[in-house]
Parts: sequence; C-alpha cells; structure tokens
Amino acid sequence: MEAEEKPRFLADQESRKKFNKRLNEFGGFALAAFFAAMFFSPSGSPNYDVSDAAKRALEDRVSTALSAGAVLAASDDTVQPVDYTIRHQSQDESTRIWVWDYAAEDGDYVQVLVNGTSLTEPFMIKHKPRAFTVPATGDVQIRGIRDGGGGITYAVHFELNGTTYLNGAPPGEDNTYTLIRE
Amino acid sequence: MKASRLLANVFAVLYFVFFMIATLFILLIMPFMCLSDIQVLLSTGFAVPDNPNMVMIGVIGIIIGLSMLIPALKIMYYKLPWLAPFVKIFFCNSLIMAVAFTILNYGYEVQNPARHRAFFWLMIAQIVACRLAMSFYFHKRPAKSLEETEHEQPVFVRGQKQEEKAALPSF
Repeated sequence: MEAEEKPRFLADQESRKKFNKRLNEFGGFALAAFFAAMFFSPSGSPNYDVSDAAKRALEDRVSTALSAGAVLAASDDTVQPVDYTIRHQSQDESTRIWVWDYAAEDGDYVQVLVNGTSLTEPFMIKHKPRAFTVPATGDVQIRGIRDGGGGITYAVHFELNGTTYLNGAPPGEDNTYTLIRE
Repeated sequence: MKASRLLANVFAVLYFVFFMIATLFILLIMPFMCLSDIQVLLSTGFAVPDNPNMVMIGVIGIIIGLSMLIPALKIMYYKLPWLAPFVKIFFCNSLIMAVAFTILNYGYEVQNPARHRAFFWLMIAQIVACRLAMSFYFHKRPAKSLEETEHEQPVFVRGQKQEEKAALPSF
C-alpha cells in the first residue's frame, strides 16, 4: 500500500513544483509588462514651470526667458490668435523653431507652413517639442487643424530671437510669424 | 491551522476580492475595448493624446504579477482551478490588443495617409506575430490548472529520441 502511495505523492510534488514554476514565470512576465507599460505610457503629471517668468509669459503671451518645451498650465484657456513680426540680424539662410503644447496634452493638431506651403503634415502637439527648420526670412504659419478640447493652444520658440510665443489657432485658421532680416 | 497560514489565507481572499475580481472583469472586456478604440481611431483619423490601454495593462500586470509571485497569494490559483488558465490567456490577449492600439495610435499622431497605412499593416503584423508567439508559448507551457498539470504528458520537441516517446505509458 505504502509502495503505491509514495510514487503518487512524489508525482503530486513534482506537478505542484511545475505548476509553481509556471506561475512564477508568468508572474515575472506580467511584472515585466507592468514596467514596459509604465515606460511607454505618458507620464502622469509633467513638470510644470511655476516660475515668475512662466507666470509673466502666461500674461504677456511672449517670453524670452522660457526654453523650448516649458509646460505652463494644466488646462487650455482661451487664447486669441495673434500674428507677430520678428525682426532679426541673423545672416543664416535658415533657422529652427520648436512647437509644443504648453498646456494640457489634449490631442490638438496643428500644421506648420512656410509662405503658405505645407512644411509638415498636420501633427498632434505634445509637451515634447517638435523641431523644424524654416527659412530665416518670410512667413511661417501655424495652422490649427483639430481642437482636442478647450481650444487649440500651442507654444512656438524661435531660435532667431530666443523668444517663445504662446498662441492660439482656431481650426482652419493660421497664426503668421513674419521673419524680417534687418 | 497555524496563525501565519490563516493570515496568508485571509490576505489571499482580500486580495482576490479587492483586486482580482475587478482585474478579471477588465481582462474579459479589454480586448473588445481595444477593438472599439481601434475602430474609433480608424473612423476619426485622429490619435488620442493619452493611451489608457497601456496604463490599464500596467495596473493589471502588477496585480497579476504579484498574485503569481507572492507565495501567500498563489493559493488562489490552487483553490480556483480555472483562474490560472483564464488569467494567462486573457492577459496575453489584452496585452496584444493594447500594443496593437498603441502602434496604430502612434501612427495617427501625424496626418499622412501613407503613414496611416504603414502603421495599420504594422499593427496587423504585430497581432499575427504575437498570436503566433502566444501559441508557441502555450504549446511549450500549457495554461493548465494544478489538476491538469498532474495529468500532463511531457511535450516533445523535434529531434527528441524516439525511444523516449515509446517509453511513455499510453492512456
């Protein structure tokens, strides 16, 4: 009798061990999925710039103190579209601009145009700035394409004058930045 | 029953009630949620800024991971024979669909038909590849309960000696 039970007991132990091993393996896989998901998910709360310069920028809509990618507000507020003229002495043929969402990442889409011609496809603006190379003279337009909620608001930083502009563009409308070499 | 064992059982029951039941429900509906999100994405043509599916996978992943790695919680899988196969298969399903949505969503962040098509086919390829990988994994490591594992026959791989196969008792 004992001789019959012993192999069964051993078999139970063996299968329990195997079952446990598979649980551990899959548990490890699930934890790895957790870390991967956290890595690829958008960060819960961005680092808001709450400095005096940021507060002034929100009031004035223009700042020379903000760097590209500064996040200033948790939600979009109504911003009237404004066109700007940028005068500079740069002799370079081209310059760089950075475009990003300085408020809530809510799925706003914009498009960058140069002298009325598309430079980019419409793209979703995020907190992470997207860089583009544009001519140092002429019109750079930023067109609102899609409002993800609360109006299309964005920030654009020009390398030419080191200035950041906080602007709003209703869907289908453009903000024009006229670059003039003096 | 020892106090420590009783405590472990209570812990497992509480974990099951407060975390696992909701997780099981989410696992059940998540592939359909992802399919619905994909359908919305394709019809609107615009990506969503936050990807709730990956966040959900993260939360579910840690709940399942802890339940399978902490010895006191493993008792759930011994007491409920259906739980381990259910969790494994549905978690893989949900993960595959969440990744599929993430790929397509990334593609739709820029409005370009060629890019949209490329990411759509990339998503299809990912689903097919991951389903094949999942099939291979569960072929090698069958998603079975403890009782089924007890009656499991070893899985042979190509090239294994024929004598070993022949030595197996036939059922």
